[in-house]
Amino acid sequence: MTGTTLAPARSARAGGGAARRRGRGRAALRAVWAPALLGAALFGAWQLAAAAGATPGSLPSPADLATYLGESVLKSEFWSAVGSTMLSWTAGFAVSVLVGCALGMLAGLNGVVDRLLFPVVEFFRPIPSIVYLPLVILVAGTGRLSVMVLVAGGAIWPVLLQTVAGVHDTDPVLRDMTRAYAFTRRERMRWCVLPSAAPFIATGVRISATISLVVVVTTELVGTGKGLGGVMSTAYQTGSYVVLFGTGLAAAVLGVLLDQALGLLEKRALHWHAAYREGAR
Amino acid sequence: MLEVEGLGHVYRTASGEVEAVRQVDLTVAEGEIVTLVGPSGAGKTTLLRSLAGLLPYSRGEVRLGGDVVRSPHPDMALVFQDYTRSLMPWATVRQNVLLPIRKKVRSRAERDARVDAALAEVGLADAADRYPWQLSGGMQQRVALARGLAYRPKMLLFDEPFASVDAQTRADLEDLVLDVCAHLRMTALFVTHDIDEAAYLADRIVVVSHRPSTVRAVLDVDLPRPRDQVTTKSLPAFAELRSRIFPLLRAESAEATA
Repeated sequence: MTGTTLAPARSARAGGGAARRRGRGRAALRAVWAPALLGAALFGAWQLAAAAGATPGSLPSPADLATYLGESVLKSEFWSAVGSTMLSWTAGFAVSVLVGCALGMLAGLNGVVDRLLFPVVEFFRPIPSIVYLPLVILVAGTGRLSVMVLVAGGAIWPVLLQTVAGVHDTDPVLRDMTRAYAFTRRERMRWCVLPSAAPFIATGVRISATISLVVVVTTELVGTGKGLGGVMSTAYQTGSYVVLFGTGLAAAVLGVLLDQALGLLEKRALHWHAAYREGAR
Repeated sequence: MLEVEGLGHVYRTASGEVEAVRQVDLTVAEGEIVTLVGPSGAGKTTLLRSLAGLLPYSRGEVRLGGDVVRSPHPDMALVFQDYTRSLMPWATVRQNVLLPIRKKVRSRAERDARVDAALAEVGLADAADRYPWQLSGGMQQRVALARGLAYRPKMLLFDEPFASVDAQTRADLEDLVLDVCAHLRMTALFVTHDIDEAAYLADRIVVVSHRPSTVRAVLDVDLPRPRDQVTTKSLPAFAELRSRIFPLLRAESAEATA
């Protein structure tokens, strides 16, 4: 299966241990400070513009949003909305990863499955899954099942395509090794195919996590009326713009946190990979 | 132990058939070290993969201890050319050596003992819990050798295993192979493009031609054992051996590039 696929950078860092650590520390600092400064500058400008009355009346100032969010995090309604969104996200994301991985493995290992699946994937992949929303809600209601189906419809593709690419990337020498040393089918999957594909799958999983959250919040916003999207939908209808944008900001922060958490997980799971090695030669 | 009769291999490609191996006959007796030397691009890897049962051959027959080899034989272990690709970077040294015998050896204690013995044999007893990429190239190739030894084959096949390590490491690894084979009475077929290496290790040298491979000469080596990098290589018999192989290979490369 072709299509755009991504592999993690295979850059091995050169240089000695201490110097490298120092360099890495400085680089990490730079990586944090530059975007933090830019963010602060943007929020500052927004605040100044709002104070000068230069922003549209429906757009609250950052100070208003901060006050709102500060109060919200003390309330249980906020956390139950976050919880509901997270539950939908977890369910839909898990289905996407499991089904995407399983189908990707099948297609990657079996040329017939690959050829059967490929046209279907290429047909459905570019369709934004939100267009199925009316149909799904008619058939399955506004429950979590509908959200799961919609999320899977949007988030399965990166995992699927990356898994196929990863399986195809298995080193032929390694494959020879497993045959020469009579690895069983299971051992081959566990010790050769899956780890070879893992860096690719990890990239797919992270993309899919972000798409999942987008689909969950959108579905809540225009369909089910639950979770953070539901809060935004109600706020929009009642003209509570502070609530609308504040909740949107909370959803954005949630997205960043989920991505960072998966990044850490990836780094631990792929500690052997050239891009993540500690103390490599 | 190993008998190869009239082996030939033809690749089918989009632009027609390519003959990689034309006619190879050779035997390796029990306890013998045979080296197979040929110019680069002689189809040596194709030949070795056929012998190992990894590549179906088009003509002839390969037999190991009487069994016709059509798929990898449990009495044969392979040390690959590229250790960075044949070792699993996600597995520790111990796991790399242990995995091939996980199904073969039921008892966990015996399995561990075998792995420890194999690692000790190659001088890597202390590296069991490290990852291959934390080791030098020479050490990684030792891990690959240990994996072969733990498999307890009757025969080891080496595919230009030391082509990518520095000269000093290479000499050490050659001596290690000699020690291990002598110690375990191992039968070995060692493929190389290096004339000195072929002569230094062998009981017998099989010189193959540029592709399509045929056997150009089989030379008996009567250098005394145990061998030594300095004294063996300064023997007149060693120099004579080199001078017999060299023209065989050079004439070939000249023809190939002409």
